[in-house]
Amino acid sequence: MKLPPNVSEADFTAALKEFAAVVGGQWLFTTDDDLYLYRDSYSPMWDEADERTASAAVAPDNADEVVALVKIANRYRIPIYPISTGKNLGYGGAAPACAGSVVLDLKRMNRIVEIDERHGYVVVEPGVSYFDLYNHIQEKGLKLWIDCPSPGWGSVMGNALDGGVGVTLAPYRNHFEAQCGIEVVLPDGRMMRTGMGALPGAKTWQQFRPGFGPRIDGLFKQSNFGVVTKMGFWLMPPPENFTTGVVTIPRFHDLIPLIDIIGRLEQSKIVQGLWMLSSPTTGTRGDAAHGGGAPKIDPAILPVLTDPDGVNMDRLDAAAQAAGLPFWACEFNLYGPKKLIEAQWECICDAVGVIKGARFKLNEIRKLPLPADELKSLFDVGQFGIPSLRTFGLGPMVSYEGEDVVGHIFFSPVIPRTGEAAIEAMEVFAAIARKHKLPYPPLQFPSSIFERAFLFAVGLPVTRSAVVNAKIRDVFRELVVIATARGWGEYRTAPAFYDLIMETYSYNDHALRDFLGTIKEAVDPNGIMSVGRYGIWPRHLRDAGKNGR
Amino acid sequence: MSRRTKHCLGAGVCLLAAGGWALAQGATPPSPPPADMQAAAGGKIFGKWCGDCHSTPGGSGSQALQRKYRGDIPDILEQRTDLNPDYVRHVVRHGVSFMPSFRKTEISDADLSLVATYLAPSPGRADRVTKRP
Ligand SMILES: Cc1cc2nc3c(=O)[nH]c(=O)nc-3n(C[C@H](O)[C@H](O)[C@H](O)COP(=O)(O)OP(=O)(O)OC[C@H]3O[C@@H](n4cnc5c(N)ncnc54)[C@H](O)[C@@H]3O)c2cc1C
Repeated sequence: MKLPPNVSEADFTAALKEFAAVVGGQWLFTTDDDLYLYRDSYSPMWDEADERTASAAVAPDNADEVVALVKIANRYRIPIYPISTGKNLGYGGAAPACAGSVVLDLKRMNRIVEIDERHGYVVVEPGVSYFDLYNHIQEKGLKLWIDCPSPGWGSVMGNALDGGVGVTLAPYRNHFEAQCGIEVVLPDGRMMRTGMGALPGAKTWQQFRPGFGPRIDGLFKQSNFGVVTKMGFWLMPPPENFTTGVVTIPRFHDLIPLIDIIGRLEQSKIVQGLWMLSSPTTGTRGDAAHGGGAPKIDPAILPVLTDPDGVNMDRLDAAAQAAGLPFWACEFNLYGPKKLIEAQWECICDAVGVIKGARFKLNEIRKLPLPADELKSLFDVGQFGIPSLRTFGLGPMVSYEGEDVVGHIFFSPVIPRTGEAAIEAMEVFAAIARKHKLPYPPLQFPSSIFERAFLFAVGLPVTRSAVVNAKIRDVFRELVVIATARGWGEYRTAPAFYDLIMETYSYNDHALRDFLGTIKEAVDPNGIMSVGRYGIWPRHLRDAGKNGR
Repeated sequence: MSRRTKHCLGAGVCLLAAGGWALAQGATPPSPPPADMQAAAGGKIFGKWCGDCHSTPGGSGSQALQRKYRGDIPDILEQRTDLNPDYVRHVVRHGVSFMPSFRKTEISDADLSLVATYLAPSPGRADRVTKRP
């Protein structure tokens, strides 16, 4: 029997018996076969002594059962680790952050508690996936759209609690920012509601985020202060139309004014859809920019792109000019009434038009929803608020260092939203990719998913070889050092790196980590809740955290 | 032939939609349901959990199987005639390549059996298999 840290076999056995009495024996999992299902399929420590595996899992059906389970865990001081749908692949899967924790699997709690078309919100339980919510809206014929991350099987709540992101309009893309109102079971088993939800019978729980007094919702993002049992989210009315507009600019360094101009348009709320950079010069994909397929690489450019010493951007720029190709393409997703799309596009053209040689193409404005057959043929449908799993077909790295690749871990730094930073990050990460023979395209592009900064996510391969995984962990550490030295921090990470990344947020001798530790002591004195998550440890287990740095 | 089934709201509702008899794990159905009802229920569960990756040529699972078998066997699971139920159960509970394992709170043992039977070769099965051109 695998035991949680600092828990005796007698106590653990007694607690498991009490857990079973709450949920029914079939929802308590203790056999090796069952616990295998709570391993992270994409773990970069698979089968190693340090892999973080569960000692048991328990799956309640409702919030009352959660309260009962938390009280038992608190009494026996058993670390519990709540997950919603547990599909946090690339950032930890369904596995706990601290080995030996009991996973509290909330997938069975899959009710859509309330959905309100008039005010545009939904209240969900943890187990509601993006597929579930989308299908519910379709079945009821509600005039609402959701914003989903690339994989649709994740939890609306779990994704937000991990800081996840989607791809439609700016106010909805950052999922924790789109939440309004949390119901949470605190480590002592007491239930609390945030914001207006603290007022019994509140009529505006999902309509007024600030509430009264300090706004504490953020304490439940990437933390370990409670089990969230309900969460409200703002949804958007379905846009009437969609199209993409493509801007091309000729020179490599035109990127700098381009990003500044787009930034101003975004800050003015003129550009609200996602925009994607690509480079016709380097043959990167950009659906609308290139009529669906990747453009062929010009034969004169190929030798520059495949130079074993890396791509020299000045040479590439010159080769692109000689070939008459624009260096950059930028594709804007545009939503809304036709006249709004046209007006937005006019503003974009006026603003970007100051860059010499800029060219513009607005694609056909299409009425939504698009016909089902057409949707089927698209690579992705997330931009239409439709969940899918098509992202898994995105040319996965098949092998690395002779080993089959079975997944990814994401290195996800946030960099300034400037052309200078984008160029620097491209060069820095391309150099690392070359050094470690990671098969990435010669140019990787920052993502505009956040509103004011770029995300520069890099997927590193995970295999079932401990040797190759150890190498990848070293590459990850190297990336962290390089990024930190430049003032770039990660927005999110996998449990294997929680402590490493928390260590980088060290301003004033770790004032932030110490403050979080103080809160941890106060709200979870027995240290049972999501122990170690995002580098927040209870006092008696802090050594475990130190080992992870 | 596209057998994509609409995802249904939450696991609980899906069980009901599956004819009311596909009980949660641990419960025993009073008597075995007729084979065609089983196939329909298995198909629904397959549609909910597997369809997005495995029911169309462009699905991520189909693409992975295309890479693996290079067209020697169909890459759409419902077109295969070589899948034995134990193998299906094993893959769902252990994952393979990029496909992660699925927990019992997602696909219960009872549901998994229905999916395994649905994908397994059976006398009636040849009818619903579309041969590749
Ligand atoms: C190919 C690929 C593409 C991806 N693309 C995206 C993307 O576009 N956007 C994106 O955001 N992510 C992406 N991811 C990462 C990840 O798969 C998703 O974010 C996924 O939605 C997270 O898993 P989940 O929703 O099942 O959350 P869960 O695994 O249920 O939850 C995540 C974590 O939050 C905490 N938590 C969950 N529920 C609770 C609760 N009720 N109370 C307290 N704590 C809780 C737990 O610590 C848990 O580990 C991608 C992954 C892959 C492999």
